[in-house]
Amino acid sequence: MITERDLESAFGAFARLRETIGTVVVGHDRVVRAALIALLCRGNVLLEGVPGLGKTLLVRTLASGLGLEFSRIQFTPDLMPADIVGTDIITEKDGHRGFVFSRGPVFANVVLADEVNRATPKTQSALLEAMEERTVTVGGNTYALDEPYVVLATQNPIEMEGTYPLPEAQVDRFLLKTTVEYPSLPELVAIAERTTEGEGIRLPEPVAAKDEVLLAREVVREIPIAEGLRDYVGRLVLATHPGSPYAPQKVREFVEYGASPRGAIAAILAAKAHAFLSGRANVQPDDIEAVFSPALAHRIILNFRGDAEGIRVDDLLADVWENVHPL
Amino acid sequence: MNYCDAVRAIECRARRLRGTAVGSRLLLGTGGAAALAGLLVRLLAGAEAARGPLVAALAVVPIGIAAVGYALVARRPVRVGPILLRVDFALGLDARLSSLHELAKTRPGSFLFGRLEKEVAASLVEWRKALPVSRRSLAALAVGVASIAAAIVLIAVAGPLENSAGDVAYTPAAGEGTTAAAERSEASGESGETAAGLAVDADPQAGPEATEYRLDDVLADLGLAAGSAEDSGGIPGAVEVDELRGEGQSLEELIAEARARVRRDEEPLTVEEQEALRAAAITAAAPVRRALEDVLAASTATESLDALDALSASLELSRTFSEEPSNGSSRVPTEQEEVDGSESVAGEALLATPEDDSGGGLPPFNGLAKPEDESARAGTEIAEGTEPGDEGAPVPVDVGPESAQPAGFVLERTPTGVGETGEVKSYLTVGVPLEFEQEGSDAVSARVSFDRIESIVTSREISPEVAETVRKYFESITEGGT
Repeated sequence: MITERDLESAFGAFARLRETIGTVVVGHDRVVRAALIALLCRGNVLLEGVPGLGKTLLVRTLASGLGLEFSRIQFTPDLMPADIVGTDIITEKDGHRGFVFSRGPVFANVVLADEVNRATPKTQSALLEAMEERTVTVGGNTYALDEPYVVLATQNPIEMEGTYPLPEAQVDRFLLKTTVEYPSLPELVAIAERTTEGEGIRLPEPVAAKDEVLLAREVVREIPIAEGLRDYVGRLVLATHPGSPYAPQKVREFVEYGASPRGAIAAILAAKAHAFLSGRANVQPDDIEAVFSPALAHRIILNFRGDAEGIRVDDLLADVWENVHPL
Repeated sequence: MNYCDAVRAIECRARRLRGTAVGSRLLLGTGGAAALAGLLVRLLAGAEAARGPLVAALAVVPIGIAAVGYALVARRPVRVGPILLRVDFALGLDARLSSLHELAKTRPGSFLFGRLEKEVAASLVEWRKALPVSRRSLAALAVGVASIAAAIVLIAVAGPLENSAGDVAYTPAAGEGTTAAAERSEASGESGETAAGLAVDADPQAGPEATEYRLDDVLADLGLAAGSAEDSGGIPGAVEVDELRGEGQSLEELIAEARARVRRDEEPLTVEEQEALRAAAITAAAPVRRALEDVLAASTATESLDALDALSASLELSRTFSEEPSNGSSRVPTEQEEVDGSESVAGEALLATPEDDSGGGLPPFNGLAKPEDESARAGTEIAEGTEPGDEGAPVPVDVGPESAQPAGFVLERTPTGVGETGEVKSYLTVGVPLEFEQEGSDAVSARVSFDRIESIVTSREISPEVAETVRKYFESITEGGT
């Protein structure tokens, strides 16, 4: 039974965590928030951005601040599934030989799948079970992953040669997708200062316990969302479908497939987590607006015309947001 | 105000508002139908006995239907969630109230409940502001009530059912209006006789017992009047003038034929031609008839041609004159204008006075007797004039500028009074011969006797009864003499 004290405790833990991350990572507020939302919602995040923007540092800082185990997997074309999930190896103990499961890097609390689109689809799909089921099956044995568990995968949008774009089914399993933007001048100067002065960047000490994260997850699911707002999210999701009566003209013209029901679930859950991170006890329209695009952008597939004309999904979603109203 | 009370009150008000919306629209529809029904009943129904129940039905049925609609809709449950969200937006609660409701519905024991309730408690006091009655409902309600009121007024207040909607009360005042219209038409150039005739015909039932008329009656009367006018050949005065003009044209044709014949044969007029000219000129103006006498007296072809030319000129001048003042607004030269040539109006007008054979003392246009001069002088004779009282000069009489001038009459200035006090214009009309006498340096007296008029009456072939009436009239206005 969650109490008011648990709520305050969870609020406090994540406030401290955000503050701690802010001492290491300069800027990237949206990315930090997306990572925390994914952590709170038992989800995963797809980060898109060029190399060198601090994605790895962000994930490492997050894991360090929570005292969680962190692992990083660099996806390459020759990366094999066993390299991710682990494999059975023959060992000899006390004169007996037997298979012992050697855990792969996926067995951690915070996993960074760097440049996930460079691995083959077979390897990419090895992450599916871990991301969705939070289990790994090797040699007929299923191993549960330790909670809290979150996968943060990155994509490089500029070097597309030799890459394997993630299939829609796998993309749909990411709770949020967000773009890692290039830092502004003040942020860039601050980054340079922190990395070139003194001892350089030091990962923070844990400021929140694993239990507090799990408690916060429960709190997030308790946060109520009004019936009218739930209906509103449903209409927003339907408006991304070209055949929907709620769809604006641009969606009808440029969209092949709209967001799946998983998108609505992701939007509501993410809105709850956003409300929690904002210190509120209920979901407000602002929370929905904040997570609307990250939760739905990667679930919308443009048609040929949309691709040919270079239509941005974010623009389409902005149009949807303008045309669908809560009342 | 706690959450439970607020939600209960909001739900209740939402039901009422929804009922009001439906009820007001029902009232609008049924009220409009009632108004139409009232109008139809007023137009079609004739049973006055049914008015009371009808009024009651028109008042009760729409209101009853609206009330039933309101009650049925207001009893049905509403989805509180969206309504609470409306309240949230209206009060700036950021969906807290609706979230609270959601929490109470799904997890009533949640630890978040108390927290949210505290956050909305202060704002819930003003929840009523968030749910106002819509303007559409108010408008529908107002129009519906107005329609019902109109229906009731149509049936109950606005007079008996037998009166058709097109009825217009016709009162003596309306009759006076008709008379006034006739007077206006008189002022527009028609003869006084015509206008008076129309006025009398338009108000045939004017009497002590006829105090109110219906439009149909008046229209029927007007139809009769129009028929009478048509039967008599239209407006009498106009017909008379037209006839006179027609005779003038006929006389002109005779003159032309006679002139051609005399010029061809070089012989004076035959007896038949003389008779024909005399008959054609019987209603012509005095100058024309005097010119005709010269024609008839001519003994040679040359004299006949000269006399015919003079007659033709006199006739043309007479027609020209009779056509000029046909418009009531046309101005007639006044005495002052005749003196100085200007166009001032000095309260006098010129009266067209027939000049018969016996009216030798009043030659209106001396030159008309001399055809060779009249065409050249005709325009100036009218303008020149002389002072009142001058022997043989026209004497002014004010009869108003609207006097029509039948063919054969000429303008003369006549005194403004007759006897000592009477106004000539009040008693005389065109064609009445007057005698004027200078009674001092300024005073001029006008005399009129039936003996002078009798020749005119006789020449127009008026019946003896009418002639007697005319005689009595002149004896009356002249107090038995002249």
